[in-house]
Amino acid sequence: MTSYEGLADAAYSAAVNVEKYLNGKDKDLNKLDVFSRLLSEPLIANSEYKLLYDARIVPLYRSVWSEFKGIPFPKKNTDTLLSEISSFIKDAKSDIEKNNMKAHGRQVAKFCLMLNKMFLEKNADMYETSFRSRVSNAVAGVDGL
Amino acid sequence: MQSLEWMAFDRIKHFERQLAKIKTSDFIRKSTESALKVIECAIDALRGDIEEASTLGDKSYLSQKSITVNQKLFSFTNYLGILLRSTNTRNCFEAYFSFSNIVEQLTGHKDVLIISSEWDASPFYIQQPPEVLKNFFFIGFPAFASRNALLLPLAAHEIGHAIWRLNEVEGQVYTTAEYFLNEYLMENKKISGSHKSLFDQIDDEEFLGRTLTLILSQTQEIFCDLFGAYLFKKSYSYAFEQYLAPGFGKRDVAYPSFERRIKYIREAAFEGSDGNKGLIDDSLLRPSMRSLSSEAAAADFVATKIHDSLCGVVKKILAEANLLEYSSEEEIKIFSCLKSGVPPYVATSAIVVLNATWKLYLDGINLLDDVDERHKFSAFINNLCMKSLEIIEYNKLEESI
Repeated sequence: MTSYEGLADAAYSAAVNVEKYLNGKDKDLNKLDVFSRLLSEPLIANSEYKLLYDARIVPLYRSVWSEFKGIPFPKKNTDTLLSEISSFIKDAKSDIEKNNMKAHGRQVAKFCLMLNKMFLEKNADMYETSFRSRVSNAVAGVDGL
Repeated sequence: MQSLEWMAFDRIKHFERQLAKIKTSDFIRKSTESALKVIECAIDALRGDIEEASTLGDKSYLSQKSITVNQKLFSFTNYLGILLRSTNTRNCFEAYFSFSNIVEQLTGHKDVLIISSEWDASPFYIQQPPEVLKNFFFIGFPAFASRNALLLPLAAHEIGHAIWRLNEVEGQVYTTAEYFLNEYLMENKKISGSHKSLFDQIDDEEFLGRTLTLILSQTQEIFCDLFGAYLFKKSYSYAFEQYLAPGFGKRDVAYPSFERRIKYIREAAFEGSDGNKGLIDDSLLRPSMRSLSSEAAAADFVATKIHDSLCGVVKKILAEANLLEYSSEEEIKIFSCLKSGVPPYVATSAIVVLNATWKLYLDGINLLDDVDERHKFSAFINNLCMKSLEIIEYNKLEESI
């Protein structure tokens, strides 16, 4: 499983890659491709969607997708949510390259940057939890090893 | 007004100056040098990223990259401290070679183990090191215990954390965790089982996130305890109890209960041998009086269910690295030397030495009533063991010449 830091870095690189491609400064979208493949590591063996499904961050995906779309995504519809995000990312490269959709490209870059922000926050959470746990264990005396 | 770029450059520069000073430390090992080099390159790359971000029209890029710089510097600072302390002579240099060899057998990589003497009561492994350092093994030993040979097997638990991450065990366990969580929630009538996704059956989706976090944390700790017990055998079980029994009075639900940890460790460490003897009586292990949250209760249930399959996973990893087999014959020979007060010249395995040392310690300590005599005996055992571990290194270096 890729770390949240790794995902954050990949999301940022993908966003910059798209931005520079649209401005003619990058010749291909290979960093977007890398990010798309990273997110396609399925944890659930027979899942219909290819997305980094991690129950710990499904609420975050919902929040980010809702903000991106501008309307709240309903709860209790997880499969649809993850399918939509998965398809958006997977089709992004071909949509930009073949259909020359600049407007769509800007949306892709924007979404990747939003995912970067989400993964950075999650990474900070993990670090904080680990640090607090060590401090709390040391002070309160807990059998942590 | 200061620009974000300048602030980021300024922070990076200060960090680099600190890193440069650490590179000039005495007693710096290859692994520490390599880790410092990796951090140096990563920091340099951040400078390039900030320069690039400031050329893009949308200021969000610069803002996000500045946040990234702050996070990474924050995280790297912790590691700079560990790397600095790894050069301290308080560290157990006698054991470094043997543990480094174990890590090499597990990963195929040399010079990736970093042991430091830390000012933290629990040996720890920071579970999610920065991406650029993910192939290094960082183990922090509490300073007062860093030269206690009998506690050295505990390092195996910390190595287990790194193996959990590098072998992507969490991904393998995740599906099983959701399966048993589904079972638990159905048994407790919290869901009907009518939908594939747990999220579509439960109102509080944060509950699922919190519960899965606890499950994965507990299973990781079980994995690491099993790793230590199957690798270091009885010496791990003894070291665990010597250092931690009967617990500290409060349970962190990110870990299995202390009683359950001891049970799993003893079962694994004594597997295939007669008896299952811990250092302390089971009656002294009292469960916590506090009632568990729903998340913790679910996590306990699921982690217990996963335990058996984790035993198989650990054994497979150790077997593939030729670290599962153990020579009782060698232990008898080593023990015989140690009993005479002589470090064994034939020792090749720190694991066997540590088990023989524990046997000698337990045989001898109970014959002494006087506390001062016990302390002297303990100190003698410690020095004998350290010298034995040093000889392993000398012998290996001789062979390589």
